[in-house]
Amino acid sequence: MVRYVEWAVGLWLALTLVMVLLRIFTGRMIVAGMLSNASGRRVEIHRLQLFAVSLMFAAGYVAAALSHGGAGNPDMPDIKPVLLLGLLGSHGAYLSQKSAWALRKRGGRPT
Amino acid sequence: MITGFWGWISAAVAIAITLLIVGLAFAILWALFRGTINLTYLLAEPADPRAQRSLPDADTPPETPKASLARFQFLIFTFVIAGVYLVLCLEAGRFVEIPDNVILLLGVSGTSYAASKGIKAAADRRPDPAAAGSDSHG
Repeated sequence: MVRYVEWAVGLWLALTLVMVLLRIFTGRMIVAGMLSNASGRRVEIHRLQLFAVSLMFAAGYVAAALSHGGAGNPDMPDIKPVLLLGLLGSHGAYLSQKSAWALRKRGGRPT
Repeated sequence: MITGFWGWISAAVAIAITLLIVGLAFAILWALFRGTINLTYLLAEPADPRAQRSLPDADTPPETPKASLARFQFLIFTFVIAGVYLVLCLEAGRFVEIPDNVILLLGVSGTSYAASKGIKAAADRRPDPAAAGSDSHG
């Protein structure tokens, strides 16, 4: 019984993920403007770096978890503090640029 | 091994609660599939309401919602951590340990999302409506 419930939860998570991805790829979920500035004309570097770092981090963690589990160790793999610090820096850069944009917008200056 | 009257009662209650939660989960999934729960704006920030109200003329197109990177990374990390945790739990047959740094990762992701929302809200609440551009930042 417990096993069936675990698999049902796994199936639910997988189907939810598939549904979100399908909506993204079929254009039924708004993803436009994620990497560009407010006017949507120019790709911004602080957005691009966070996008790349997030994807690489997520893919790297999945790969690490699969090899970790495959090696007979079922616990979740740890993340090196230096990598976490890098991620923190990436988020900090994104948020500081966004704060600067907000200050410009509040001051009525061009964004 | 279930023994005794109270053992059967607790087993029945456990099964009922489990079926209720699993049923609820699949009802939500079905609503997502049918579109009753709308996913269109899952990654998008709402448009600046002030900019919507202060359109210069009828020909100016209204501001459209723009996808938010903060939401996207929060979604990615939530799915990755939840998925990995689930796969490893299924493999081990027990609740596996979550390292502190993984919790920190989720904390960074969630804090960044919350801070991004705060910055956006502060930018949209500017005092001078005349200075409202037609931009939205996700």
